Amino acid sequence: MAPSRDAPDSGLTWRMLATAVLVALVYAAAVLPAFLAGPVWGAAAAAAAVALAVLSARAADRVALYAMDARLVTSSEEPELHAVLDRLCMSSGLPKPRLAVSALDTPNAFAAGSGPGSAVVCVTGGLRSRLEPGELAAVLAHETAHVANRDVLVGAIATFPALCAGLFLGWWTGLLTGRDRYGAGRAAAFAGGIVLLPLGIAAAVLYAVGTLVGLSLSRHRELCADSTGALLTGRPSDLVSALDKISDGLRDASRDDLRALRPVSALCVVGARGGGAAGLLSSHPPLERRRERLSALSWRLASGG
Amino acid sequence: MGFLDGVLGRRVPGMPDLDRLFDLPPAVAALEAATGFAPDGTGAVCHRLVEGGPFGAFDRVQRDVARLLRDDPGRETGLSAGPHGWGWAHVTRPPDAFERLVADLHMVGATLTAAGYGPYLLCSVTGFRRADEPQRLLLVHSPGRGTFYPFAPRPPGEQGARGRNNLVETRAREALAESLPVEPDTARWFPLWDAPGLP
Repeated sequence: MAPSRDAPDSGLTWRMLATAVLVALVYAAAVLPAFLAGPVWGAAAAAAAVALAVLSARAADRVALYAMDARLVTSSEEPELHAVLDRLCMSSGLPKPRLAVSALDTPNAFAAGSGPGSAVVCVTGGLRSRLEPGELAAVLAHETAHVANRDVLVGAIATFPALCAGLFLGWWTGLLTGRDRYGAGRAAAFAGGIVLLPLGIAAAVLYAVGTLVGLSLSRHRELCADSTGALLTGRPSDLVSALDKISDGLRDASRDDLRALRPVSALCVVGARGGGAAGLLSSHPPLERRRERLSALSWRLASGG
Repeated sequence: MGFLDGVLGRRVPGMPDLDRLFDLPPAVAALEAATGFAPDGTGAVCHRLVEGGPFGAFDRVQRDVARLLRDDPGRETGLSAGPHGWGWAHVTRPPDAFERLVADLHMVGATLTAAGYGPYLLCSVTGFRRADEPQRLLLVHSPGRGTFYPFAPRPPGEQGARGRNNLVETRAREALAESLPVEPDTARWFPLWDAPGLP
């Protein structure tokens, strides 16, 4: 029935708060060295980190659309999708996101943009050809829920320290191995690498922890978007059947198509890497888990409570 | 919805404000005086079809709505369902019984809300026509926001593809601005191409 503030998902909320605290710790670990140099430097580093994270979230929609080879469509080009989106915005009270369509044959959909005002929702051609109208509406509702929850911004902020640490690690290993450097320069770079050894180790730890925490947060956000989207349409079972069809479609998708999806995998309705070996390393919760939660919602709706 | 609710992934749905519908009958006179559009006796409520099967709670409420609507011989009613998971309950009365039509629409919304399906109400629409012109005007009430907006689909055959008659919509907004809360954000004047009675 009508979702209320604290009733159904308080467990999920608490786990997400805990993850958010972990994200904050990752940030603290990243800017701590700057605090050793003085409080002003520390504050500057923290501010720069947050500003960069927000900027990267702002740019994410353009990157994602480019990676998916998607283009924005008007309501006269895609009347059906726009009509569904209109109805979802009527229910949710959100401003209408822009709509993009990608020609990829892999069935998937993603939402990008840092907030409800600048959001874009994208579906692939494969999704449209494989899903029934009701299932299409369920997937769009899931993406609308991501927009309402500001998941792109949250995700970008959560994974940003890991991204920076990864970049630093790449540069540092370059110093150690002496790539593209010769003679004296190579020796100097190696010496520099040795001097930066503690920082390199710290970056490696930060990268590992940051990635794991970011992925865990992403899985929580998916579950949230599932239940928000399903309550928005009132039809959780449509989302279940859509998820089944999409993961079937991804299983027999070509390698090239999957590669095209990889940059936006964390934003997609079903992760492009499939189940993966370890649940810890996946950006999406396992299908079983999502199906379980959605059937619980179905049951609640059917019994009217 | 607050920022924190968004960041934590909780959505707090707005409760519908149905009583605004009763502002409609007094405002209609101003609309007719300014634009010539008068009620044509049609009205409908759009809502989501919540799942649950024939024995589910939602279907029970929908059967209640159908039964309540059937009781009065002065109106024609029906339910219709779209493929994307929303449906319409529509009512037709003689054009001069506009107040009773609005009461019918309110009754449909109130029945669904009383059963807890308020957040699944999308809008209520009432139809208007000017003499025998093919151009129709729909006044749409969005209960979640408590506002009204005009929607004037061009009759088919005129300028090929479907479109909206902006002139009629702007005139209607000007005529109604005094007496009704008109939706200020025109981006939220969502078209309703599948409204009952539209060709």
